[in-house]
Order: sequence, then structure tokens, then C-alpha cells
Amino acid sequence: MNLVEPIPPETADRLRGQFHPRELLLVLLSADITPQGRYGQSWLALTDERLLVLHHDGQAVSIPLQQVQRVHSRNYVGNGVLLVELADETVELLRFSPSIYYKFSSLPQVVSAALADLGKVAADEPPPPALPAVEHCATCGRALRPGSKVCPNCIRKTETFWRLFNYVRPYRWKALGGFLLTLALTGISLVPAQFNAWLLDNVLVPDSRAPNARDLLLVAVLGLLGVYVARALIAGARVYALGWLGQRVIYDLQTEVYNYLQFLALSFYNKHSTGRIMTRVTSDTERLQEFITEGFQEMVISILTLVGIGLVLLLYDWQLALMAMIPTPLMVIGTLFYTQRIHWVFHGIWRRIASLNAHLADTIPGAKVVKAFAQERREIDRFDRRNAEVRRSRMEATKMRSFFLPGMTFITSIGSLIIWWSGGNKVLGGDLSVGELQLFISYMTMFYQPVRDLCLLSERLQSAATSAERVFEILDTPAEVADFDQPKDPGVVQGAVEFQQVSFTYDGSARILDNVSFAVTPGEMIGIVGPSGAGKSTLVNLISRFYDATDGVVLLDGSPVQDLAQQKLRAQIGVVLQEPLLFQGSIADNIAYGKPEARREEIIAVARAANAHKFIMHFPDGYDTEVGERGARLSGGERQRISIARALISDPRILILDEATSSVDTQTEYEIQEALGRLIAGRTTFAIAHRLSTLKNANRLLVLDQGRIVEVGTHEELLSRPEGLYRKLVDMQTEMARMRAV
Amino acid sequence: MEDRGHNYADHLLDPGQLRFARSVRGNLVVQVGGQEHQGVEVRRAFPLEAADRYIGFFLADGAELGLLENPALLDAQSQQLLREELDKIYFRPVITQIHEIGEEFGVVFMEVETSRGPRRLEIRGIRTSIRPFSWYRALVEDVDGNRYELRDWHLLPRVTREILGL
Repeated sequence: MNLVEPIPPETADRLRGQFHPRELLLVLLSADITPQGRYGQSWLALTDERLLVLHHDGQAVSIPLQQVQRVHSRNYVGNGVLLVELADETVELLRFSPSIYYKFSSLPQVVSAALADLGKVAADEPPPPALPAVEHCATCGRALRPGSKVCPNCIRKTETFWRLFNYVRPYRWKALGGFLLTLALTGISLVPAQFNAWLLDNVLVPDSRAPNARDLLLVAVLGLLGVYVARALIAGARVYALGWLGQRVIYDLQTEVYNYLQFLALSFYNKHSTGRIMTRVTSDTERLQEFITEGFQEMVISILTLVGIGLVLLLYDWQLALMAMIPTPLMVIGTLFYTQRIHWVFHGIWRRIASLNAHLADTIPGAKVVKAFAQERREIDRFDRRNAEVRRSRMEATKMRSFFLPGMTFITSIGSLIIWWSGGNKVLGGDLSVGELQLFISYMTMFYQPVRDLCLLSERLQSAATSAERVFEILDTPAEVADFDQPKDPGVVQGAVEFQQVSFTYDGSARILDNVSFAVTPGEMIGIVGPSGAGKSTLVNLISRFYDATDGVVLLDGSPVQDLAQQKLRAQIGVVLQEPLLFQGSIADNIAYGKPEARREEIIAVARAANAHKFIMHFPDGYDTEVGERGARLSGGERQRISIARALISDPRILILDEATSSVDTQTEYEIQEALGRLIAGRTTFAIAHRLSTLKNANRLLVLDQGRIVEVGTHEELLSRPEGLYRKLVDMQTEMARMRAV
Repeated sequence: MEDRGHNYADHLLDPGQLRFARSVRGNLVVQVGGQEHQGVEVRRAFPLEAADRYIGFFLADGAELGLLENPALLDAQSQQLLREELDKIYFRPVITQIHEIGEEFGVVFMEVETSRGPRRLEIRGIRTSIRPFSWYRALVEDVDGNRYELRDWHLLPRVTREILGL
């Protein structure tokens, strides 16, 4: 990290005034909150002689390094301070906002190093890693998504659109075909009006009637029939071609997004709600497909039609044409105004519908809670309020539409009135034939449609761009736990696990694990205990590499887990969670989830080992029993035992039990414990448990508190420490058990 | 398979040691290596996907007698008796013909011919009540909990399949 920031000239001058010529500048950083708590710049300079703070109002504080014991930063809520410890007291140096926490995170080490150079203290503490800075867009200054170099605000819309057309590229000839069909259709739609004009002038109107009018009439009608047949055929072919293309594109898009989702790190799923991800896979891709295949073509066609008809009309009679186009600006203004207004109305409708859906998603699965608290009436009221809002905002759209649509029709008719009037006068004066007048009128109607379409275009582009960004956001999110280019095959794992000074943070500030080190030999059973939030689950998550350690290394059989192929690694780790999630399908499918090729004998064997065989055999459908969505048709204990069987199917060398028995009754717990006792033999086992009695058999217990290992030892050893945390936890549970017994 | 202390092999019944007979009252008697058991419960492990293999036996007190992997290795009479017993426990007529089918308000009704005689059934919620499994078969459960088997559903007329959600 750069420790000397560029500095404005006047501040530089003021700073220079404070130093003497031979001082060596080491650090120069700006902070963004004044000591009085307002936003404003302060500067911190560290030289080989002193710490200097220069405030916005010109105040300067200079502390000779000789007096400094230590510098450290402290993050409060919404702001942080940099503190310097002097011999007698601690002084606040600077205040800064969370946006620049990262700047000061490595400062304490730099100062210690400077102090060490003075020969004052030894820099012994290993420096914690600097927190990664939130990157900002170079153009607009907005924060970038972590891991992304693309600014959603500044990404050029055209670029997004070009990227979209990549999805059409594999089918470009078909797309071109569809486009040509659309062109042909537009062209052929112009023909009937020509026929009509000719028919009027040469056959029907008495003055200009040709002698063989009857024959001509037949020819004209047959000709028209031919045109209509051709138009129907072309239209059919076009619908089919575009439909084909559209389905291909959406299929490719959805497949790509879903494939990608499967390989995204778990942290992505923590950040985005399920509903939103689902919307992106289904609706957003669909909207994109609609735009790619139809929207774009229609746009081009509209422009061509507009120019084409305009030219034809101008060539026929430029004066009449210009007059007929008088309402066009009105239309353009009206439509643009309408789209702008309606955009926000629609936005409001979508938002309210989303809120309505959220309410449903909340209360329907929670029906039991609603009933238990007898709050049906209130839920009805809440739904009603939201529903009424949806109705209100929809009515707003309806109101706007009731003005706009008839208004537009009215404007169009004004255009034809003008033609009737001035064109009619020309016909009466003999300057224009009846057929030409008819031609004008029909072309004029065809002229207004693309005008309106083009005005609506910006709306369409906007919505497609939004969808595109949301889809591409997924595709652009780097798989956080990425395999190296050439991951090592772990082979058959022995099960030796070692943590070397491992730290972990989800968000870059709070450390869930802090400098954790321990080593486990193959086959050992390790119990992990500690209060909630101590980092127990995080610790085991690092072993299966659901997340990567922020700092330090996790070694498996001596190699860092980052070097190992993830899937081969996880295949040898069996995981049993507190809330076992089963997938729709039969019990056999679920047990064999990690090893689809498992033979039936193996499935029965692991089910038996998990004490599940007996109850499964008494289901009407045995192992073929459908478990329902998320295993809903089974009880908690049944699900848990099936999930244990599932963990065993691949004969894992490492077993992770994350609160595996805490959500079941005592009898079931006994059965599960019995099964587990059998299973851990020969496997490295990590067991997290709240009920400490279940960990008696552990070879060693790791006691975690606030991300650090505070005690290690066997159950007996830890019990014998009267002041220990483990002893305290055990005492508390004994007390609880006694109270329950009373 | 490697022994992981699951004792899968310990629970296997040797078809050579296993015989079935009928008591005077017609109940099934299971003989395992000279020992006789009555009131044995017989269960299929995979009633749908492998109905003829992996048969579990449980004693009256709930304890497991063992698992028979392949009944085809039994003597002919025992095979016959076992088949009868299983047919009794797992009553699942096969729908052989659909005379009439329709759907109203989410309830599917059918006039059918089954392997056990004609039947009229109503099915609610096809998504959960009609469950396809391998070889184009499907398990059909009607509103009363009767179970039927549908075979070769891919050969049914298009509209019938649409109604059944297959």
C-alpha cells in the first residue's frame, strides 16, 4: 500500500514549515473527519523523528517519536480513531470514516518499525494483514463491487449491448434470415396500398376508368390475393425463425448463468437473496432474449420504414407530405413525456408487487407462527394494505394510459384530417388522383406507427440494459474460492489437518478467526466448543474450503488446501449439519448424492451405519420413499440420520459434525450418537456441539472464544482448570440440567 | 466392500440357509438355519426401483432378522411363498387401460382397468400424487391413498400424459 499520498500544494507548504530539512518522511496519510466531528481533512505525517498531525483549521500537533510507546487504531461505530500511547496517557490523533479504515490498518506496524529503528522497542508482534481497500471507479468515484473491476455506473451501454449480441453469434445466419424475413414483411406490407390506388384510378373511378375494367379488376384482385398469401407465408416463417432464435438464446443464457452459479463461492449466496438470484436466472434472461431477438430487429425495421415511407410520400407530393407530417412532433413529444412518466409509475408497481410477494413468501411458510399467535387478522390487514397500494399504483398507470392511447389515436386522425382536407382540395382541383389520395392516407397511418415505436425505444433499451447488467453481474463475479490453474489431486487423504496462524474475516473488518493455530493427527477426534459466535462453524468451513482463509494457511496432509482440487478435496470430507438439507428425490438418491454410482448394497450399508435402515424399511416405499421438498416429509431425526448416511457414502477420511445432534430429541440423539461413535473410528473428526456431554470421547477439545483458541486439552484436563472457560460452560450446563430436573 | 464396522455383511441372510413355509393357519414361517420364526414382517428396501431384490425381515419385537439380497437364489417353494407374502403387503394394482380421463378444478378423475379389476379413481395434486420412476413407470396415489402402478406411460396419448403431468 502506498503510504505517502499526494498532497495539495498549500498543505505541502504548511507541512514543510513544520519540518527541519533533514527529516525523512515515511508516511503521509489524510483522514476525513475533524476532531470536532465534521467532515474535513486532517493529515498525518510520520517522519524518522516524530508524528505530526495537521488539521484542517491549521492546528498542528507534533509528538516526538521518543515519547511514543505504541500507535493503534480503534474502530467505533461509523467512525474510527487513531490513538497514540504516550508514557502517561493515550492521545487521540485522528478520526476517520469507515471508507478509509484500510489506510490506517497497517499503520501500527509501520510505527513500531520506526520505533524499532530508533532502538526503542523491538517489533515483535507479527503484523496483521492490511485490510483490502474498497476499490473505487476511476471515472465516477463510486465504490466497485468487491473483486470486480467494472463500474456498473460507467460501463458503456453499447459495450453491454455488444456483449449481448455475442449470444446471437452462433446463430448469426438464422438471425440474418429472420431479419431478411422481417424486411420482406415490411416491404410487402407496402404493396397492397399501391394496388388499391391503382385499382381506384384505373378500374373504379368512372373518369379514369380503362376500357377493359372488368378484366383488370380480376387481375387486381388476384394480384392482391397473391400478395396476401405471400405476406401470410413470410409472417409465419418470421415468427417461427425468431421464436427459434429466441428460445436458443434464452436456453444458452440460462444454462450459462446456472452453470456459473454452481461454481460461485458460498459467500455470493450469503450476499444475495434466493429470490433475487432466481429472478435473474428466469425473468432477466427472458427479458434479454426478448430484446436481442425482437426488440433490436423492430428497432431497425422502424427506422427503415420511417425513412422509406417518408421518402415515398415526399416524392409523390412533397407539399402534401409535409402537411401530413405536421402532427409528428406532437406525437414525439407526447410519447416521450408519457414514457418518462410511465417509467416511474411502472417502477412503483413493480416495487409494490415485490413487497406483496415478499409478504407472501414470509407468511405462508410461517403460517404456523401466525396461527400460534392468533395474528391472522393482522396478517390479512397487512396484506390488504399492500394489495391496496398495488391497486392504487396500477390505477395510476391506467389513468395515464386512458389519456395517452386515445390521445395518440386522436393526433393520428388529425393527420388524416389534414390529408383529407388539403388532398381532397387537390383532387377537386385535378392535381391529384383519387387513388393517390388513398395511397397517402394508408401510408400515413403506417408512418405513425414506427414514430411511436421509436419513442418507446428508450424505455425498452433501458430495461434491457438493466437486465443485462444484472445477469452479467453474476457472470462477472469471480469464483472467490478459485482453483489454481493446476490444482493438485489430493489422492487418498490421510486426514492430518493443520492450521497455521489462520485468520478469517467475512467483511474485511470483524475477525471471525484470529490467529488460530493447531495440528491434528489422522484419526483424531477433535471437539470444538465455545459460545455462539466464537467462530466454530467458520473454522470447519475453512477445512472444506467453503471459504479461503484471509490470512495464514490451512494444511491437509502437509499441503495447503488452496493447492488442492476443491471437488476432490470435498469428496473426502463428510459433512453433517445441524439442519440437514435434503433434495427432492428418493431417500436412496439423497444418500447417494455424493456418489451417484453407489450400489444399493452400499446405500443400505451406510444407512445401517447411521441407524437409519430400520425406519427406512418401514416406510411404504422403503429406500424409494420420496422425501419431498427439502426433505419436508421426514422428521428432523430421520433427516439427520439420512444426512449422516449421505456423509458416509464416499467413505470420507475427514468427518465434520456441525451441531449434528442438537435439533433432535434425546432418544434420537442417543441413536445418532451411537451411530456416530461407530463412524468416527479411523477418521479425523471435527465435532461442534453445544451439549458438551456429547464430546466426552473426543481426543482433544479446542475451546474457542471470540475467534481465538483459548484452551486445548481433554475433557478431564480442561475440567481440572477451575478458571477455564470450558469448566465454566460445563458448570453452566450442569446447573441447567439440574434446574430442568427440578 | 471394505468393512467399516457397519456390519452390512453380518445382517445378510444366506439364501441357502433360508426357507419359508406356511403354518397351519396359513401364516408365513421363516426358517433360518434351523431356527423358526413366526410373525416376521417382510419389507422391500426398494419397492419401486428394485422390488425383487433386497428384502428385509423384521421380528415381531422390531429387531432385524436380516436382509436377503436376491430371492431368486431361494428354492422354488420358498420363492413362491415369499412372492405371495410380498404381494399381500405391497398391494399395487397395475393400470392396464384408461377408459376415460378428465380434469376439473385440479382433480383428475379416471375410469381404468387394473390388473385387479376395474376401478374409478380421483387424484388430487398430480405433482405429488403421480410419481414417475424408472422404465416409464409411475406410482399413482388417489385421494383415498390407494396406490396404482402405471406402466409405459410414454406410450399414452398426448392429452392423457398432459393431464397426468407425465
